[in-house]
Amino acid sequence: MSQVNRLSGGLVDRETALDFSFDGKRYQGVAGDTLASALLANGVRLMGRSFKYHRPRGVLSAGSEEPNALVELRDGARREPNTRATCVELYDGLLANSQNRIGSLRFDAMAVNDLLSPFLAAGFYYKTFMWPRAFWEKVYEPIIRNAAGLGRLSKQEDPDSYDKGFLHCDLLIVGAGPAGLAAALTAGRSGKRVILADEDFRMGGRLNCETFALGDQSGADWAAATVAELTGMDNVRLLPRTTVLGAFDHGIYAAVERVSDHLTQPAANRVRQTLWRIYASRTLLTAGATERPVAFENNDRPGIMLAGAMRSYANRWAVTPGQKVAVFTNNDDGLRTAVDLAAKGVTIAAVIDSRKDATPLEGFNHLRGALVVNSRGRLGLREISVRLADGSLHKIACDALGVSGGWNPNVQLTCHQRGRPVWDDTLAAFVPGGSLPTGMSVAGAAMGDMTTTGALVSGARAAMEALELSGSAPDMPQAEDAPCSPTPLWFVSEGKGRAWVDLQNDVTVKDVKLSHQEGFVSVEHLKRYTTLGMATDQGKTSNVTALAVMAELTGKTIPETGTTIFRPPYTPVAIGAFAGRSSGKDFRPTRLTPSHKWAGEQGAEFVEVGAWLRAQWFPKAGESSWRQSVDREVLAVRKSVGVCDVTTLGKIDVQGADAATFLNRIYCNGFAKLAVGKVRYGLMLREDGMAMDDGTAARMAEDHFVVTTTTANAVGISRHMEFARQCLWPDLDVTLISTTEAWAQYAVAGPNARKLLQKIVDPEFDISNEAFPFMGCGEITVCGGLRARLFRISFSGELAFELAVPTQYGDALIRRLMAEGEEFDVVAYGTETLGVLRIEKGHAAGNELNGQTSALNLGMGRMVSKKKDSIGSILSEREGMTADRHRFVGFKAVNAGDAVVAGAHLMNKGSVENAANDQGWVSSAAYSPVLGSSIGIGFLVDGDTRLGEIMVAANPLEGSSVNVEVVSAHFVDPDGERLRG
Amino acid sequence: MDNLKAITPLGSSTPRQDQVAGVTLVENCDVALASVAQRMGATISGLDLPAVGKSLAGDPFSVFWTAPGQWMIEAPMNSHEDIVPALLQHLDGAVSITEQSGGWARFDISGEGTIPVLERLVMLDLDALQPGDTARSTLDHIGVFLIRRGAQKFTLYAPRSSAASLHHALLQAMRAVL
Repeated sequence: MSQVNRLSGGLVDRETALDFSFDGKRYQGVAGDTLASALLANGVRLMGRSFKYHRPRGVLSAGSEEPNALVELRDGARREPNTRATCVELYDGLLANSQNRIGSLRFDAMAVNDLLSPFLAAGFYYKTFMWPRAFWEKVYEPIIRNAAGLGRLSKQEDPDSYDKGFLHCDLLIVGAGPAGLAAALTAGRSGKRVILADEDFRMGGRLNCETFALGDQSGADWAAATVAELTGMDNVRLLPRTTVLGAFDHGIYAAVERVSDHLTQPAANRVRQTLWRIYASRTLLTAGATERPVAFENNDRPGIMLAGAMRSYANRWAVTPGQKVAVFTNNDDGLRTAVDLAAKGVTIAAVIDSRKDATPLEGFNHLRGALVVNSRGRLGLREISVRLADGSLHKIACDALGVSGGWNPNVQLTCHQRGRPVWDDTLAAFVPGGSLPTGMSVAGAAMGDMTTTGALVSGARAAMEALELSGSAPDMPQAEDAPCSPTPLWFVSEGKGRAWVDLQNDVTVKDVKLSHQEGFVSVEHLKRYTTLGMATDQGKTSNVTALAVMAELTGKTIPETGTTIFRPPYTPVAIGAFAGRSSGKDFRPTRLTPSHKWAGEQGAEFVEVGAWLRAQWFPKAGESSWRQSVDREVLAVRKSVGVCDVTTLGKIDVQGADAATFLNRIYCNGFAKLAVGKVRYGLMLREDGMAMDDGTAARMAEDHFVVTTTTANAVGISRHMEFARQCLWPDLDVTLISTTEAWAQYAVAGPNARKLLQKIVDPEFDISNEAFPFMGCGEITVCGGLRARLFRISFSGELAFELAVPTQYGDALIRRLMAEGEEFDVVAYGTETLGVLRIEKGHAAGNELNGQTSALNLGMGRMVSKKKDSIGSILSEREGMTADRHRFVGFKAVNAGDAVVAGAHLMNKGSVENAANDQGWVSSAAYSPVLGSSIGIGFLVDGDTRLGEIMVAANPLEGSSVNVEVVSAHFVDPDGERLRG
Repeated sequence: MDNLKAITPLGSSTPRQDQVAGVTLVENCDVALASVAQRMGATISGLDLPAVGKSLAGDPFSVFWTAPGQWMIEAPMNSHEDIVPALLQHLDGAVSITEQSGGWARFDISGEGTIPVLERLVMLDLDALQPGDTARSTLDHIGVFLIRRGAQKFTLYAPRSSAASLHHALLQAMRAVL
């Protein structure tokens, strides 16, 4: 089909033909078209099926308010449902399909819903599907969802990427119509930093859609010239194709820029969309206004659209929606549609004007005091019925009808901080009022200045005021200044059929009446009962009309009836834009240990520990399960020596004359008297007395300690200590700084640990047991002079050291340790082996220090020094805590083949496995290759006095409860001879 | 002195350099770092310490502000690798000095288009930063120090363990924008 409805003129590039397809049929449009304008140009009026009743629908508007013309755009993984044809910039090869239909668009099988409509009124499913209750989820809901769907998701991964970004400006201008352009020109010339955003791909707003002159230029030419001037300004950033979708706190706005949506697909490395966070000192909302329809019986047929949209199609896109057009209006603005289309050679069948006293429009069949009361045409408008002023019914053949019920200022962004718009009687519309978001002002049609002159002048003035500019605003060209004062007409009450209010959610005047009849009078109830305004268009063309209907029913005024709240986003946003780069493996950044590269070369399995990737185990050839690798690593450490990267533990450098005093208050046990060159285990309590974290503090000098924390709590403890330093004890001379990342630290553990280290520690440093005993520490050099720190501490229970070098040498050090350790059959071990070793030794870790345990529970009650005050010390003595009899003990499977499971709860043998009989729980468990048995550690009521008792470790979830013997948590070397050796 | 060989934060023996259109991203390993914090009531002399949000370039020590009473000192790695003793000798007054060379990865990004790249990654108002200004911020969830060195030249310091993630984020933005 050729472009039968293409007119002359317009702002399109006829030289650039673009091929596209809709529902499998090929068409041609031109550059500058939207999908909607191109379809209309080709005589396609039927573009979709309605949400609930599957009524045939065509395009209603020419902008982002579109409720009807929703299509599935593109195919494959890029298929995007519910795309508004009015916002899709045509590109060559564009592929679109209609949605929400079974069969073809012309013969949708689900159209049977329309015949069943008497049963499907508002709230029908609340009433109909009440019983049987079990049917709701399994039967009713799937059927309803299938019938009342919108488009289909591709269910494939989004192949495109999305950026986020941050912009700052003195003035953010939202909307580039006459008011926005005038404001941008004013602000731009002042040198202030300006951002001008517009959702359209061509800036100018209504100036591109009307035939008014601005001075001696056309509106479109003036807009283009202004945009050109703004483009040349370094301080002005133009963001076309960008929707400001929300006003947030403190002058922060979100905007989505459609970077590549007008292309077949994004260019290599380019994003599809960018979500901007805009920090604006001031914001000027110049978002214009949206025309509203008048509801009448069967007002939803393809071909019936907003009168202003009809002008947009004719003037901007050189398209007429039909060959014989009628107009139905309650205001002078609607008359312009007839004039403009007639000027383009389109036949105007009639102008139906609800106002009896309207000035006659010369040369037109201007029917004053008349109403459109019904329409006909199954898949598109063929005829309208008009009730004339004399009461007679008149049928008029036409294939398009432009409807204008007046204009509603686009107040949405003013309401995002719960501001309530106020009613303007002259405009018969809500205008911004009450408290606006911080720093926001409004101008132009968005403020109710409905003329071009009003928009230009108020835009320029608002920019001056917002930026507190002195002098006078730039001169604006002469433009039309006709007042817009519609005679309110919301719906035509004649007729028994359905008059549509919310076209996207299929809500009719009758539904609003039903809502009223059933007592849902509050607008918030009306909205939820009828689903009015709850579709993806957020009721841009329907909310006020529905309020007017409800107002009439309740006998209140519209402002008394109230408004619902507008919330971001202004228009629908792809979830991908919110995710930005945070998807897949890039969801969050990772932290890599100093030995990461080497571990990777060894084929290590990595595990996420917070943001860290740590080696979990190091599989060797021939090992088919992780247990084999871990058993081998454990036995090798116990037998000879192993090396583990422990860099991830938090390290905090504590310096100052009061460093010891500070730590004495942070830790529950004593630190004041720790000698230089010594390390001490320390337990920190929370203020409420519960155990918080444990670790060590090494005294490097009188006024210098290095504190370690668990990996998981490194940041939290750092924050806690800073809080104590800055807020609790600002009088102490102490400085803190994290050095977690600055040192690569390796645990070297096992009977041969010293022998291995002696090969790399420079000979002037004596690390014999006498010179460097258990819990010693010192600054040394290794490998011929490299500065290093050595700590004789043990998490495994073996003779062990932790050796730290500046992180850049961490990779070289692990390679050296492994090479030098060959003669001792050294192994590298990961976090699994680390866990087995510490469970065998009975050392608490994250599972035990989970925020729900006390020092008493952990068997460290006596560590809480009463000779001093420390954080949590007093509250650890409260009754609720001292009364808790859970004690830290070990468990060993009675049958060697049974597995003890962490999380299992302990029951007395023979008792019913339930919460009432709960005696405690297993917090950590492992298979101990040393003991040849599964073991666990955990908390048992009076556990310290129940050693030898046989209990049940209940795991009813998996149906595997096993018998365990209560034992000391120190399975290996309970006397600590090895680590002191 | 020692016979262990350092590797770069990105895990190589030589610093990485990337160029996309006019923007260059360099992994800079030529800098030794130490943090310096003022002890209570002390005045530090021997080095000019910049005010809040500022940095001072010098030879051999450059300084940027990091927190109240706390600064980071930069010095050439080849001459000042063992930076703590060097600083102790240089500074007078009660001061806490902590070696940080291994703790941070430094990336220098420069050239035409640097700001469009950075504005996709950091929330700071880059126009408001003058050459020499420094700020603490986050980039792709990673805490960073950002120093503006010139009109189109910035330094980013990020925790060394996150160097690969940071580099990935920067390079991705460079490719997306330039």
